[in-house]
Amino acid sequence: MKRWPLLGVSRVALGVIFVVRTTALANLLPTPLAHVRGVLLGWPESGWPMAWAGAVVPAGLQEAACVVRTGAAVLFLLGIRARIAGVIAGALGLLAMSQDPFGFIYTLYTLFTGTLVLAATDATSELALVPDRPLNPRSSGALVRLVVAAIYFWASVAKMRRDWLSGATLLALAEERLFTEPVASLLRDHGGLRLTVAWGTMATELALAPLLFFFRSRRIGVGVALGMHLAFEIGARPDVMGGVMASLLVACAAGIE
Amino acid sequence: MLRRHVAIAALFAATPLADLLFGVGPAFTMYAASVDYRIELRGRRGAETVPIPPSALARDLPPSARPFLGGAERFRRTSDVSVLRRHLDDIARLACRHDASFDAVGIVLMERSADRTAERRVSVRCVR
Repeated sequence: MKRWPLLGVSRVALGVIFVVRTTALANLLPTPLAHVRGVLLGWPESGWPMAWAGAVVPAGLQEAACVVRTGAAVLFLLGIRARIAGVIAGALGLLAMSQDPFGFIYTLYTLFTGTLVLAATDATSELALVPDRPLNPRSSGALVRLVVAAIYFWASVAKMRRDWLSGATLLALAEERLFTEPVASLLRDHGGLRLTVAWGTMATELALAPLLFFFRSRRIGVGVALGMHLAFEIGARPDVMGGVMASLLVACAAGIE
Repeated sequence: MLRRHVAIAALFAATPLADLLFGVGPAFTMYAASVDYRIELRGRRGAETVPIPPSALARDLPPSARPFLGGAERFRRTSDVSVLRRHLDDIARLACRHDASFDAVGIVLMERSADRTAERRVSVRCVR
């Protein structure tokens, strides 16, 4: 049976999102959360310097890192020495995040760590202009599945708290207009719906971890996860998180065919 | 699985544990919480204590940090203040620079949510 280059598809998709979301191109996206100030994400800005663990990097070095990161992301997308390019792009993405601690968002963290993860797999030897030497397709697929399963597991654990499960957080998010208006209106007006969405999201994310991990349920897991992200996109347009997770889910589907 | 893949998977899967154990680290909390918070800042000049409105410092912070201080004199709501909790000393140092006559600055972060009520205090000696 023909094996589809799904790891390669995953790398190309994540590479496109990386290049768009970390440059001014992000400002063309129809979601206000995906905003980049300046030409490149992480370009030094005015204000009191702060960083993770107080490790502030000089402005000139930050600027150079932004340029190198963008170049590496393009090479990762095209598949030109994508293994090393992905490691550089992902690491420098995290460096940019470290210099803007108040700007931390999980979309970018998942994008950069996802890039690091794919760079460590056979995604860099499929659909690539200058392919890397293949490592092990089964191990590569298993790594991506474990990482994606862990994201859903921890996201579910984070929701096992009173303010989420009571629907209070959803109400607050609806009042802060973080949902599209029809969805916000429904959530504001119907307490039962808030409870259903809160418990349903937590339970779905918890179920996705084993569904994606085990071979027999992988197809169902990928389908459920894509459906959930589609619902999030309709209800909340959460930056490019849906795109990032969909890209990684493509890699999770490797082996299903 | 290759050993390097096992190591990467273990590192990635275990990193959020640091948040549970030490309150630091990425735990994929994405909008799971809502918390009300307010900030109290006081500068000490000799025996005198002067209140500093957090909003007055907001414009000297990077753009991403400004919304956390703007209006934080009163309780306001956001989804996560863990980053604010970790950088209270930075904000106190900024307050020192704001008024060079201060000997020290104290900052208090008060948090209220359905799960917890907490208060964190940090005091910084101003370096002239």
